[in-house]
Amino acid sequence: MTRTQGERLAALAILLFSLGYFVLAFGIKAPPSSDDSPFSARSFPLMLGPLGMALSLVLLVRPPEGAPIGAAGFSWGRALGLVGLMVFYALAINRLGFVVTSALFLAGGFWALGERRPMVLALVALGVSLGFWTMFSLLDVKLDWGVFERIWS
Amino acid sequence: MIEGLLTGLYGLMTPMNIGLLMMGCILGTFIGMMPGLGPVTAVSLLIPVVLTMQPASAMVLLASIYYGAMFGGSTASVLINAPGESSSVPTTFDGYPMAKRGEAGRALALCAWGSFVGGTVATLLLMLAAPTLASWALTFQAPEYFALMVLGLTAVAAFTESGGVIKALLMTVVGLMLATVGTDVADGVERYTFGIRDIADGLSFVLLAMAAFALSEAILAALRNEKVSEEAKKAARGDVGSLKLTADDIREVAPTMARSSLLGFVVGVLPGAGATIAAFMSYAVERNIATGKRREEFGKGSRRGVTAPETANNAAAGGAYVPLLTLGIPGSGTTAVILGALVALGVQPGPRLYVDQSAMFWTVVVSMYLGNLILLVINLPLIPYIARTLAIPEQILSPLIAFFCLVGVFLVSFNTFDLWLMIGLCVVCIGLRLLDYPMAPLLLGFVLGKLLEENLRRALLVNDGSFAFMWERPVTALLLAISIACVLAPMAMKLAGRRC
Amino acid sequence: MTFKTTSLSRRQALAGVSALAASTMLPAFSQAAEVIDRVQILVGFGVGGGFDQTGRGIQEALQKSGLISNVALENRTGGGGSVAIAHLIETASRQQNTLMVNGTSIVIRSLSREFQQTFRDVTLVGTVTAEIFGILVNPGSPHADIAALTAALKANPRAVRFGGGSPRGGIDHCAAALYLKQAGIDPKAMQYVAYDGGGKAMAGLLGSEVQCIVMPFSEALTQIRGNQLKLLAIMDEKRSADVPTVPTLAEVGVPGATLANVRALFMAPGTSPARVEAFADLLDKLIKTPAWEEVRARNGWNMFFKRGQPAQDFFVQHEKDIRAMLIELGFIQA
Repeated sequence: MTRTQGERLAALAILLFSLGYFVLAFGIKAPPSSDDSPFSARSFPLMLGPLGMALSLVLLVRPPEGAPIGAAGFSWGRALGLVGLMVFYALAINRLGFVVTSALFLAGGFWALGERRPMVLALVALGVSLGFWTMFSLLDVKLDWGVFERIWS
Repeated sequence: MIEGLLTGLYGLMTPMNIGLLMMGCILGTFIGMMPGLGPVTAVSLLIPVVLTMQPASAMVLLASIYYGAMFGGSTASVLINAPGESSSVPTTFDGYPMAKRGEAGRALALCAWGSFVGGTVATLLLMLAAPTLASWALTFQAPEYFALMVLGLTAVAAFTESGGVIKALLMTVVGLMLATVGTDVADGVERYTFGIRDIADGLSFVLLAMAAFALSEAILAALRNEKVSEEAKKAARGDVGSLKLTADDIREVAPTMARSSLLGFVVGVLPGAGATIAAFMSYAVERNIATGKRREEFGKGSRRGVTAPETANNAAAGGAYVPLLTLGIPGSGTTAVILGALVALGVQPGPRLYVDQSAMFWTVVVSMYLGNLILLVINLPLIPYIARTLAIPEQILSPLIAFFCLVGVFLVSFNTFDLWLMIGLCVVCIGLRLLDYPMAPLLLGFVLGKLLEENLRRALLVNDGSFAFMWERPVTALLLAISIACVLAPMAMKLAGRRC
Repeated sequence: MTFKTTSLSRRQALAGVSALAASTMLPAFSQAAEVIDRVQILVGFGVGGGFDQTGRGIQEALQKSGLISNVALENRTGGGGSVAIAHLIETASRQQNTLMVNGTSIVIRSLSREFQQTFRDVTLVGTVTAEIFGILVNPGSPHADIAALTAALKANPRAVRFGGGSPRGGIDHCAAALYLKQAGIDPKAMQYVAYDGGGKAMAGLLGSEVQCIVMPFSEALTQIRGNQLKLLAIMDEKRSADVPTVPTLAEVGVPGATLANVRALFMAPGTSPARVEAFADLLDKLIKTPAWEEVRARNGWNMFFKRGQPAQDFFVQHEKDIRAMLIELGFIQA
């Protein structure tokens, strides 16, 4: 994908976003007896939608020049690994609890970015998550242990 | 007045109070640095403790913990591009670029000094002019707030270099659009929530800032296989000298500190604005009045750019005491909690507070001076150690930053929906950033958008639908005129330059 | 009153017995006596707001009075409290020690929006406080008393612009409308300006952007006592000890206009009646402690403790009243 194609794609996406925003603005309910207010909950969105559409249209028609994005040198695996781990975090936090999820996330993150020393992986990940848990507990913020809490009790 | 100050000072200068001050500053800074916790949490946590103390000690502790948390929020903004709380968001704009080029120590020192100056000037103004300012704050109504938000939006001009004017404007519009998500303040109708209850209160500003800055930054670094720059590493490893401000630094930022202190204080006095707006406004003003080379530095690591918001948000925190003490009106959640504590401690807010309850008033004032001073004294020596964060190898630091963001968002709501939202927004932001779309205008539009719309609607409602308030009210007209000048002046200069 | 105290001491005695027998005969005894060794307070709103302060006040008083030492508080925000409600319902089996702070908010939100749950979907333990609505003007207002204000509104409903700390269709708007309706004025004709919270509404009144605000008067006690704002009347059946000189609306010929913002505690759905009783007992005991009195006085809260059937009946009536106002204003269909 060239830079210009990328620019066009982004502009098109924002154009569609603005269009959707504009169309949905008509669906905003007007509460009763607000006819005395000249500017309703709908008015501002109705102004923003066309503004967004106009600006993104300019970018679509005349995509700005720029250096190539340089996708060749990108390590997609590392980036996707981190995003995947975040998804794991969101899935696991309520099930495995704070400490275990955090330790797994951190160890996985270090590994994905090239750290291979087992001691570093284990100690830093566990240390940080336990450290945070302790500090938050001292500050009266309750972070639970998920399923482990139920197993213990 | 001197007498009052001395009485207050005398009352506070006990070993116990100094100990509490130190504790409050350290604890406050620490809480402020922690992801997800800010001044509100810091103050709320301490209320039960504070109320068992002597009123003087209690106020000292409250002031120090409040300022401490405000200050602590800036640390993560500078070091890892992750604002600890909303009023530190503009600090990332220039603080992080400074840290990236190896000047983390200096940026943090500027933050510390800025906070100190802002807080001290605010206390001074509180002492001198509280009653006058309070009645002025009341004349500031919906039309004026609207004009103030318009002025704030002119800061968009600061971000036009990287990807062109159109992209900056477009991101502002998208930010304004995102601000309309959630339950409308005036009519109570839900907009763009698609029936999802998790966004019925609107999108979280800190979440958006994390997705747009720190999180996408960490992932982009992994994508580009970036290493922490050698300069940053070297500086972090112990070039302690960099945290000392040079004469040139002081010359550079002194005018900024003066302006931002005043502006921050004035905006802080307004119950409808607050520290976040103050920080954005002062950034906008500094950028708008800068010329030539200095102007180009904004967004790329300008010393003025990092000093302005940090000075202003602390000054605004001091300014918020004006409506609090003289009218009993809190402008934010934090000040609402502090108000409750003050009333419980025997402070009866009112216009004659500083006459009728002079002892209490001076205790508050002196505790604020001391709080700011001790904060500076304690934090400056810590900066080199904190700055060492950047010496952490990249494969360790990036996951830690991502972790910081996840925890910071999760701990506010305990809602995994917010995590999904942040991950989704982050992926979108990565795409936009690869194409040089600037992220700061998005946040600017978002933070000003809600108040812009709310106040415009209220202004129209109370003026029976007439737009005449825009030129009939002197302050509104003045603010709008300045906004127009801010937009037109650079164009005019360019035109003039071309002709020469 | 005496009945409740006896019931409590009986429970305590049983709790001691059951502790002995717990290891061997847990199922048999757990129904008879409930042991409360820790309390989890769930607040569906952010730190620093009214609900949060109620939650923190209960936490503080429980600990300081020595009733329960292990009290944790959790702010699970989103959707105007609905995220916390949904969480309580979804994880009900694990929430046997959880008290959720909510109140009028849950009623109004379930009435006016596509908001699935009502107060019936969680278990009401009891009401705690009620912030009574009051009608406030500036001290220099041409409407020197409530009769003058009512007369002016009768002559022209748009003569006075009202303000409040809730959006249109929120509780402050309902309170203002209730006043007008009971005074014989069409609430739909009212001009209402919404502010983002009571503090900003007061600033709007002090700056004369609106001429009158309707909000819980306890939030404005400071300004009332300092003569910065004038409280014309309160929306309750009897006068308040905090402002004994201020008449009720009924006294000045506007009967039936009573409304309060109530804060109550809820437990997970399906919690056993015995356990709910035990928590109601705990609450009953708590509000009689000096520790609670200190918290209450500091915040200026107005006590409104009801438990069991009376609390349930109150909420049913509360819902009816608010529903009637929302229909009157056209926010929901009859």
